[in-house]
Amino acid sequence: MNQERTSIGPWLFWSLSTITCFGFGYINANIYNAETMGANGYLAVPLAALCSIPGLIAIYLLMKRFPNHNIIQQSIVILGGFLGRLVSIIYLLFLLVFFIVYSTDVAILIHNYLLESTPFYIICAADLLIAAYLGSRGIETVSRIASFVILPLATVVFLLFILILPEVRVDRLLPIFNFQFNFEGVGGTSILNIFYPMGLWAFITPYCKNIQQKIPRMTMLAFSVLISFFLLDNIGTIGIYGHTYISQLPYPSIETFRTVEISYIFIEQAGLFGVIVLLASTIISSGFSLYAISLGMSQVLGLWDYKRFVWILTPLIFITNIHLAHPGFIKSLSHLFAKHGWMVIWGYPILLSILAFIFKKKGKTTHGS
Amino acid sequence: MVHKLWLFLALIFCLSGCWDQEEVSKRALVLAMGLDQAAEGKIKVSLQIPIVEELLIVPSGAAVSAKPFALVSAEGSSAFATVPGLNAKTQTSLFFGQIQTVFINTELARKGLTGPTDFLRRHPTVPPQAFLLLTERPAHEMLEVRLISKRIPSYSTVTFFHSNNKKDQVFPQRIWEFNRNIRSQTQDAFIPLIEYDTKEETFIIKGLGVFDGDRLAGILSGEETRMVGLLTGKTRNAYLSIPTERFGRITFRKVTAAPRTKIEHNGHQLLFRFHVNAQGFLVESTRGITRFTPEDLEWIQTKTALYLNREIKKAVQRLQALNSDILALGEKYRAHYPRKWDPANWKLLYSEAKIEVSVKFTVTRSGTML
Repeated sequence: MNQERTSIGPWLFWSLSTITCFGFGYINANIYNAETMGANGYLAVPLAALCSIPGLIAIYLLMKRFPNHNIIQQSIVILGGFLGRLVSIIYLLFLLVFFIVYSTDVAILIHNYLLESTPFYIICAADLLIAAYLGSRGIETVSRIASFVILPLATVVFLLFILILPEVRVDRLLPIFNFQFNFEGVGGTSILNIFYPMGLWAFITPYCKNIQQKIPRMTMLAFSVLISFFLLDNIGTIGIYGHTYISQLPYPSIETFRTVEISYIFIEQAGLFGVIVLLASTIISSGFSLYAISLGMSQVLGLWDYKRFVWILTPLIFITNIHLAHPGFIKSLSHLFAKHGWMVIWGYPILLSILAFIFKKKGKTTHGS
Repeated sequence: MVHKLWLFLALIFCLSGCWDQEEVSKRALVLAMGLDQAAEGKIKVSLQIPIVEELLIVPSGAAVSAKPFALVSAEGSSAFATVPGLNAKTQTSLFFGQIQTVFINTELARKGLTGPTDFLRRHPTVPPQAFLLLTERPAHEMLEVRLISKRIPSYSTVTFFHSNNKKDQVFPQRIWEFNRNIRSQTQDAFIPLIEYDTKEETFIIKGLGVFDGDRLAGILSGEETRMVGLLTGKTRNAYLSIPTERFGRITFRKVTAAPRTKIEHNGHQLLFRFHVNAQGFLVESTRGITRFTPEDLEWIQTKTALYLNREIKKAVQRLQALNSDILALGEKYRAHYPRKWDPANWKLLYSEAKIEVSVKFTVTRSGTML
């Protein structure tokens, strides 16, 4: 059984889309933005959102053509059995490596900031076991947990932003629109990485067919929340540290929250709240990624179901995590994915959409094919 | 059932916090740190550790110890290289997560603080909000002084900086701010000055040590610091005392300012235009004069504005002479002239820039007398 007989509502869809990007962008957003656009790094956020829309439209169009298929099943139908499977395997391998780099980055962060003496493999194991358990419970569990934590999480983060605002110096964010109007000047491709996790939606389109009409609205709502969050994050980080100093910080958002000082209150290190919020969102994000990759693997290979793949992939990811555990190496890999990942994450659905249109391919209407 | 049992066993891994678990009683909580220049280019690090038993409030009202803390020191080729030596002197584990203040000796600061303070930004448990203080006396001596309040010296300094009423002749600089500023091309760092009055057994926190890059360039007096505070808007409660012919010495409290700075680039020279809109409460006239007319107040305001104008200009010129841009004018210049901005050339432009100051002062209250 490759697919669950369930569906998710608009609120669950919104929560899942928002929280997966939230956890991922929290680590990566402002590094590449400041690197490519300097003091105007915050402008990269709406630009990246704008550039992500064609990919999302492609997924939506594919969903309309193939209401009962996800991207893997769509590619098998559009490209044919052999080529479709081959390309899907490459696509899934890319997502797997991308997920490994991301989960290692999160584990390094926990090791650095929270659990210094704990062996790295224990952190990876704990992180992955929770993500695997979540992933193995299916899309409904992942999305329900996302909907459960999103409001308290967003509240804590926005409160932290309010607390950092007094430290922001407007001069560090100026001049506005001070960039060259060429490809690199407007941010280049690496700024797109903050919305990559939204591409995972392509795996769960069959579960969203009941809310097809509401998807554009829900996606826009997720975008507006994410844009305001990342904008505040970028404005706060650049406004406090300046765009040149950010390049020396592995996790600028965490360092920004660590600057918060609440006088006379015994909990003076608000940065810890930032780390805890991040962990909650990254675990859900990891659970969803693991679920999506496992579902794709089971569909491509036609073996077992996604649950078994979750537990097969977990030890493989765990071993790779341990061997990649060098912050500098992980950051250079992240950079590589940030720069070129769009080709796969957004390029593949766009390509499939174009091919489906050219070859007039359509999916069957029965469920669970 | 078997699956659930496996899952339950796997949860053991989630108890990973046990590796980092450490009883509070087995920790040596470092409250303050002192950095001194030692012989042969070495650095001396001193740690102030509280004696918890001495800090407990005794219900019978027994006297509190005047020195409820211990001091341990070690020398090393770098600041963090001293930690093994400090570890050897303490039987419990050193814990840096509670550092409140770091005292730095001026001799070390003159040689450059990039190296000696690097661990303060790298070590994940060192709180970035901890305050930095600069002292002419050896830092280890300052950590050991007894205060009249019988409080731990580091806590006294934190209480001082948390009070808005004290933001007059000194302003705080936290570890994260200092580390950013000494590495910034667009602004320089400062550290507040601290001295100890041996007779009255108290700290004197007044004035700033200003930096050019990572080196201490000079010292600003309390008066100069006050003017810098008015120029940057950091001042929350400045006191001004001005001699006048008509009313004797006029004193103001709660003086605050809303500054605006403009930079103009005329050919090869810069012009800094400071517009300071200041206000304060009239609190004293040494001739005891009351019933000030609007003309009197206008006269006082003009006199005060002229005084501030002169003093602010002197403070900025002093900063220029020291080549220290603690006003972050470089950031402003970069923001307004991004195409002309050249980090290599900035300090030269800065030191040769012209200054124009215009001050408007308003007396907002005159206390309980007319």
